[in-house]
Amino acid sequence: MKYKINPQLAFRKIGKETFIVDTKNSYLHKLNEVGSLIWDCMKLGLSEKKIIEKILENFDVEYDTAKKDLKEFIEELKEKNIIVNDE
Amino acid sequence: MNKTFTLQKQLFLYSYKKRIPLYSVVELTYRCNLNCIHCYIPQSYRSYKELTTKEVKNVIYSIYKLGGLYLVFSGGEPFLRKDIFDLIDYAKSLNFVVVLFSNGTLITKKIAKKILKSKVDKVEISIYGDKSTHNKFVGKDVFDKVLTAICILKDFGINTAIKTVVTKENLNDFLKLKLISQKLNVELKTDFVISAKNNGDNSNLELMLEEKDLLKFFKENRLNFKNFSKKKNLKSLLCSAGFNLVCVSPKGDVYPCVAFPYALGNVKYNTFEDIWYDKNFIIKMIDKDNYKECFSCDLFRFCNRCPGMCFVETGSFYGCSKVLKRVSYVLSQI
Repeated sequence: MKYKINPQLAFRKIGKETFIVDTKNSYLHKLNEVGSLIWDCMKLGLSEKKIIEKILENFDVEYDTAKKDLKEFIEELKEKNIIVNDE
Repeated sequence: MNKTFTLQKQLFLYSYKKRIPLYSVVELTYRCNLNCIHCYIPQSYRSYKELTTKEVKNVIYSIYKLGGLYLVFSGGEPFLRKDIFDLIDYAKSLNFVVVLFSNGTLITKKIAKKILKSKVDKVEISIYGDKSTHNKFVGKDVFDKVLTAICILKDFGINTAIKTVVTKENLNDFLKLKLISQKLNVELKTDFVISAKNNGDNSNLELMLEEKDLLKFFKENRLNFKNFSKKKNLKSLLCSAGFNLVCVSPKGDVYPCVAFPYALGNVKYNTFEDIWYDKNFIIKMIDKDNYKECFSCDLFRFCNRCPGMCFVETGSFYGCSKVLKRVSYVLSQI
């Protein structure tokens, strides 16, 4: 599964964090370092499988934990209309 | 406290500390099809040679690289630039929040459609009163056109706001403006401070409300900008200008703020990065010894000091703005 970033959003990586601005709903969201890495992967259109690989490359975490956390993170982004399914 | 508000504060403080140009204003042109009586841009500036499309894009890219997120396209009238949508599309491709400041006279259905397509985040249109007051204020019979433009923008679902400045010439129209904004269901952004012209000409400051009217206006509109926790220190005297806010003029001058026309450099001769990271300006701004007049002022607590206004009115970063002194005095009386 791939995901598309909501094209209406503005965002910027500042330091190690990513700030996402939803001007339509007047929200500002912040992603931490791991969230920012996932965000960068999504910008490149990487699949879930590839994103997990990137997480494992960059952080000391077990495969199952990374998979579970990524799933939860994606659900949260979808809920907030920050990303939509791409295919 | 609201989460978004907390994050905004965090982002503001981080960018301020790290000198990230988070907020930027790119003045695309000094040309304008109106002649507003309070405008801070001298008429003679309208013939300046403007940055090319490529040069403006380079500026936007540099701001993006340094962490800029919020971008305002202003003027003059930005829709007089033929490449306006090319520039908007470019800024949006770099994921900026893009806001347009316009007088609304050139916004037709066709233009609104393009604005919608370009995903501009907000359009702010200036109106100064009812039909007769507005037309007198801007020097042209355009009120109906501007009102139509706002309706079109609203119809297209574009986030739109009305901007105004309250002066001696339109004080009596403020209530009417409030009604217009309510009827159109758009936000009304109000200012009551006038900036002297960029060349130091203070003649437009005569339009500013006198103390008595300003006090009445504040009381009637329940406006109070007193900051009781304000401490008598340097931090209280500084603002975003040059720290996390930048302005680029149509001819490429880099200013700390749109209201602070002190050229830090020009992008035609130096890179934006070199200009922004040159510490000379910041060193001057944080030189505490130069603010003796402020520290001994009885109105310190009531003054929202704007170094730009001080600069254009007095020629010095550290001078005292008569306009701000008037506002501070009025606030001290509330």
